[in-house]
Amino acid sequence: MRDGDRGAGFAVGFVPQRFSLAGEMRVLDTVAYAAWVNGVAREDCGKAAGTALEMVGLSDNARTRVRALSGGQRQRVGIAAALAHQPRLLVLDEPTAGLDPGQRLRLREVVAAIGATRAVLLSTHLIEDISHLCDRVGVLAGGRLVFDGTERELTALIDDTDATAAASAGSRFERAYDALITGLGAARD
Amino acid sequence: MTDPVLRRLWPLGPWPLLLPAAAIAAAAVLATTAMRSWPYQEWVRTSAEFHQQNAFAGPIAAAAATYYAGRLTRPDRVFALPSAPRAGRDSARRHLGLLAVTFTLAYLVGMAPLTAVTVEHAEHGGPDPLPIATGLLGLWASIAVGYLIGVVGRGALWAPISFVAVFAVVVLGTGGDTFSALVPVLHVAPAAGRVEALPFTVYRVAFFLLVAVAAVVAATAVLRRHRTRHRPVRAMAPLLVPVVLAVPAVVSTPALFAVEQDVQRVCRTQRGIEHCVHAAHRSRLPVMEQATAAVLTAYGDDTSGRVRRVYDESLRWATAVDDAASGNTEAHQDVVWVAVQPMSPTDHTGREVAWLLAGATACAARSDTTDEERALTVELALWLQNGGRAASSGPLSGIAPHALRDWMSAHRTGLDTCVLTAADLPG
Repeated sequence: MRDGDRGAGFAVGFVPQRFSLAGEMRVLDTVAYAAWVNGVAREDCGKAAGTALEMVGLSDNARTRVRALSGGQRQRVGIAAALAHQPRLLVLDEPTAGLDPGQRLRLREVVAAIGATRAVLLSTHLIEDISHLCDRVGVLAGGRLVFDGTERELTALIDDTDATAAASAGSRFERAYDALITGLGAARD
Repeated sequence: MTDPVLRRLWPLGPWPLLLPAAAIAAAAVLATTAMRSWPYQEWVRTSAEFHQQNAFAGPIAAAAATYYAGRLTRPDRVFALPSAPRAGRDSARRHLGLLAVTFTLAYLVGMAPLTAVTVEHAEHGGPDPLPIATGLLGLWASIAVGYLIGVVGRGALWAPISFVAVFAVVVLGTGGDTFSALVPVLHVAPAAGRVEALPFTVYRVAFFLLVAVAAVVAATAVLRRHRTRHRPVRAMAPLLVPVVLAVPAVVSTPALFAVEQDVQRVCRTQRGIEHCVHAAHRSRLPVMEQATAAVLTAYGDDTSGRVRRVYDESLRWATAVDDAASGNTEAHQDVVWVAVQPMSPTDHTGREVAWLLAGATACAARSDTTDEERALTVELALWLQNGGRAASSGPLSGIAPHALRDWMSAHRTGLDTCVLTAADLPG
C-alpha cells in the first residue's frame, strides 16, 4: 500500500467486488449521490463528484448515463463514488476482476495515482495487481494475517535453486504464496 | 471552473417523480369532473373526496415509491452500502421527503378544481379537516408501504405488485363497513345532514399515521442492516403494531357516520305548506316549493291537510334525534321527505308529494298489493308530476284532467289504502 495524507468526512471508502449502478443515472449524479450518502453536505456534492471523476479520468463522461459505459469505466465510477467524500483509506475488493487487459491497465494507473495521496487497501488474487501497485503485501489464510511484508520478502520464502520449483509453471510470487499456505496446512496437521 | 450542476430532483432526476405526480393529479381531476358539474356543492362531500380519491392516487404513489426505492436502495448499489453514514434514516428521509412532497402537491393540485368550485358554489359550512387529513395520511401510508416494498424487494420490478396490492386494499373498503376504518376509500360518502363520525375519523387518522410510521421505521431498519445475501426479517417487526391496532376495528366495526350537530335549516311556509331544507341546500327551497305547487295545481289544491310539511331528506336524522330527545317520536310523522342531493337531482319533480297524493307511497308500504293496484298509483303519480298531462297511451289517456282530478278527490280513501285499479277509473 502507498500511504495517503488526507482525510475528510467518513474515513473509509469501499468498492465491493460486485456492485451495481443505476443505468439511467448520469455519472455525475451517481458519484455525487454517493458523496452525499457518505456524509458530504448536499451543496458540496457536485464539486466533490467533479473532483473524484477527475481523479479517475472520467470528467468527460460526467453527463453520460451509466448504461452507456464500458466495464472498465463502470469500475472507475465505483472508485470515484468511493473517493468523492475524500476518505483517508480506500478499500478495493478485486477491482480488476472481469476486466480485459487494457481495462486492467487503465484501472491500475488510476489506483496508482490515487495511492499517491491516500492509503489504498487492495484485495486481489491477481499477481500483476500486487506487482504493479503495492508497497506491502498481506496474506490472509483462515481469517488470520499469516504474512505482512514486501513482495521481495514473500518471494524470498522459496528456494529458486530447487529443481522442482524451477520446473513449476508459476511465477516466483505464486510459488512463494503456495509454499506459505502449504506450510501453514502442514503445521496445523 | 464552475462546479458541476446536479440534476433537479436529484439523484434520479425529475421523471420518476413528475410522471406519477401528473398521473395522480390527472386521476383526481378526472374522477371529480362529474362532481364539479353539479348545480351546487356540499363541503361534507368535497371534504370526503380527499380520501375517496385515494382510489387511484394511493396505488400510483405506492408503485412510484417502490420504483424509487428499487432503483436507489439495493444493497449492492455502490451508493447504498449499509456501512455509509447516511444509509438508513437519512437516505429514507430524503427519498420519502421527495416522494411525499411531490405527490402531496400533485394530489392537492388534482383536488384544487373541486375545492375551488365548492368554495364558489357551496351554500353552507366549510372544509372538514379530519376527513381531509385521512386522505393525505392515506396517501402517505401508501407511499411509505410502497417504499418499504421497494427496499425489501430490491428492485423496481416490484412496482406493479405495489400498485396491485394497494389497489386491493382500496377495494377492500368497497364491499361494506367491515374494513372501512382501515382503508382510505369508503364504500359510501357522507352527505349534508350526516358527517363522518368523530371516533371513526380519529381512529383512521391514527391508523394511517401508524402505518406510515411503521413502514418508514421498518424500511430504515432494513436499509441499515441488509446485505446482498441477507434480508433482515426482524427489521419488519414495527409492522406488527398497525396489525394489532387493526384487529379491534375489524372485530367491532365502528359507526361510519353520525348525525350532524346543530343542523342549520331554512324554512318557509307558502299556501299553508311548510318547506324546509338543510342550509347547504338553501337554493333548492324555491325549487321544492315550485315542484310541490305544480303537483298541487294538477291535483286540485285541496289535499285535506295531507300535505302540510315538505322537508329535505337531509334533515331527517337530526329531526328524528330531536324528536327522540323531546319524547315525541311521532312529531314529524306527516312530513313528506324529499331527496335533495346535488347529483342527479330529483327535488324539482315533486315526485314524493305526487306519490303521496296518488297513493303510491301507501302501495309501496304494503306487501300484499297487486301489480294492477301498484301500476295505477304509479300512473297517477306520473300524471301529477307532469302537471296533469297523461302519456299518449296508458290507462289515463283519454281522461279529461278535470275528470281525473274529481275522481281522485272522490276516491282518496281508496287511493290511500291502495285498493283501486285501472278498472275503477272514470270512463
